[in-house]
Amino acid sequence: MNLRTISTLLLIFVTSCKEKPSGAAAPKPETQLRLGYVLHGLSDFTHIIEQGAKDAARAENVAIDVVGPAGFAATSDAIAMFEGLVQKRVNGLVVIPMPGEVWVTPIRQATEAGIPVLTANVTSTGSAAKAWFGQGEYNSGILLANELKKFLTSQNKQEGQIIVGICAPGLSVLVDRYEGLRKGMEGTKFQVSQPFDVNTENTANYAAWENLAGANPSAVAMVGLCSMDIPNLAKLKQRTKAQWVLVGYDLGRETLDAIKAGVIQCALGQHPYLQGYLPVRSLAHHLRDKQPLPNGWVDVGVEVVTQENVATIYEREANEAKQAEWYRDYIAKNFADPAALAKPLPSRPPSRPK
Amino acid sequence: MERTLQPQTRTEPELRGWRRLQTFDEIGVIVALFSVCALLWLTAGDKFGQPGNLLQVARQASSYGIMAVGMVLLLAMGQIDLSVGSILTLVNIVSALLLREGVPMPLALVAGVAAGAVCGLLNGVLSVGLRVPSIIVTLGTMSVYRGLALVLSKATPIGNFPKNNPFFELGSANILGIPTSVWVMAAVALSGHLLLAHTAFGWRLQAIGSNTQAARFSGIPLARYQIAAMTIMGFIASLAGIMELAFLQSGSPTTGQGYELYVIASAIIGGTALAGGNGSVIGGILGALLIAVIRNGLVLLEFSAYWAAVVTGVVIISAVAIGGLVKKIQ
Repeated sequence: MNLRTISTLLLIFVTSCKEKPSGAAAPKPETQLRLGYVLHGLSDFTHIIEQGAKDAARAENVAIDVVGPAGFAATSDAIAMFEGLVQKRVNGLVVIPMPGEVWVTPIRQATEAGIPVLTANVTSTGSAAKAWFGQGEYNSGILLANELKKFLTSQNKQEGQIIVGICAPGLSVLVDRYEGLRKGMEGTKFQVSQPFDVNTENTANYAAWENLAGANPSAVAMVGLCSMDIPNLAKLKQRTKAQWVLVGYDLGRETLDAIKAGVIQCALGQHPYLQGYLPVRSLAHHLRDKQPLPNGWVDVGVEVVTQENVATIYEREANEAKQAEWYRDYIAKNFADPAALAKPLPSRPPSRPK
Repeated sequence: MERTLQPQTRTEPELRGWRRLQTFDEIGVIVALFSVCALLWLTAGDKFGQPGNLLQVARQASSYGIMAVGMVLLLAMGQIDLSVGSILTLVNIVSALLLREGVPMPLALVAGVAAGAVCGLLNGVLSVGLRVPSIIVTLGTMSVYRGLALVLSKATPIGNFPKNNPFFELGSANILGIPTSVWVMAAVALSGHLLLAHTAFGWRLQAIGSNTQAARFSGIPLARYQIAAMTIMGFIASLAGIMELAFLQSGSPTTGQGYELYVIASAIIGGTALAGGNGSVIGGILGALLIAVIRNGLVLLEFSAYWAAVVTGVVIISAVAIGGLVKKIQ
């Protein structure tokens, strides 16, 4: 194969792979706003964020590039993508800055270049980003603990061991959730374990939970802090016929199935659709209509899903069209003016620096 | 009294045993595995030694143990494949997608295995055709295959397909008390061992790895052998992907992430030389078991998530060092 053949094939391949920008039904004039959205990884969770961002772009008639690294929390790749969008001179940027600490400089460089930056899902404390659209992780941990206590009480369990898994040890959002859970369980006779490493890779995650279950046969509850945890725990619980209470995060299809079947007792949703939709809409309104950007934290809320309300959520998550329709009404009712909803950053674990 | 030097003499049976031990390539990893197991037995007590736990460890090892067989073949001829984890993911997703679309089970599985073999074939053809080392080609295809899995699945787990059939029942069941995936690992290992140690194909792979120039001059078609070995690797990775699907009953784009390191580590811990020239399939399986035992032990001993990573590395290095020392004495 000679050099010319390889170059030609490469050119054809790259051209054919290029995705058409979302929000563009017809050829757009040069003046159309172009936004960028940098995800922290590609997963079912971020796929919903992407949907929200693209729906907002379509509704506001702006073009958007949604990008993200394939690996989970591949920070350097995400920063490279962010810098690439800055070089491309997009009009505004949204980023999931995970972990927030390392994003201060890239965000400052973007704002110095005249590009407004908003954050979603997690925030970058001390950065130049104007607003953060997300849930308070520490508070969600407390909320999860309260739900867990309810389920344990309903099973007449007053004491015992609660095993917690963390899929990415040290990741601040997960540590915040864990600290919140511990705080919420204070004053009870339950012992919350240290957060055990359960890995982000699906099979290794199942194996880690399997090992933890074997090592702690008397555990009364299992708590997963990541989206892949509770579907795997549900399979393990069914196979071993265990009696633990299972609670955790995120609302994937398998999680909803297991809640419906009564295997998982509770899962917290983070409204990823809103984390995609709201910042894109705010940027579009700011850049086009000169509306002020929200200043501070726009709390997208935490959704508690149990067997009682799972049917509604199941219907909403059935497909992208239904999801978009449900959120259209929800946004109109609750987030008509995000700037007016912005508030100071939420409380964080006392053990963590401000 | 004057001492006279006596030549050391051994009886004939002793000599036979000694010679057998000297040709026993896996002695290092066996000693390492037993050392770690003994340590865990002493520290973690009954929890480690329970048959249920040991079978669980064997099943966990099968995830990368199956692929270690293919990696041993490749390493023996001086090649490497970094895309194995991504091939596993792609096969996992392709089969799950086909099942979701209502394709009959056997056809979905065959299509998945074929996809894996084609990925391996492509690795070989690209490496030979472009004259680029396999490590570079597979570094690229690792990203391509994982990307394709993400595109196909939209980064979302695929589990909404019928699961009430023998494939899924068997995938998570035990046969004669042993998990199905362990049987599959044993079958793949036996086939791999026979191929490498008892066929002309295997001897030639090792000859290529030992001295490429000499192999070329002796008339071995290097390109054909490299393509064949990489296709076999792809095929074996696809079997691992199918087993993951059978056990977890869903396809996930995060399945297989980072497996390449475990697979390569299993093969090397098992005594296969990174530079090529020899390889031990049985050693590769034992290497995979060693990694799974360490992971299991860390949980049983309740190591913190932060220390677990440190301890894993230290134990692996120590185990390999013990194995190396034993081989040196041998």
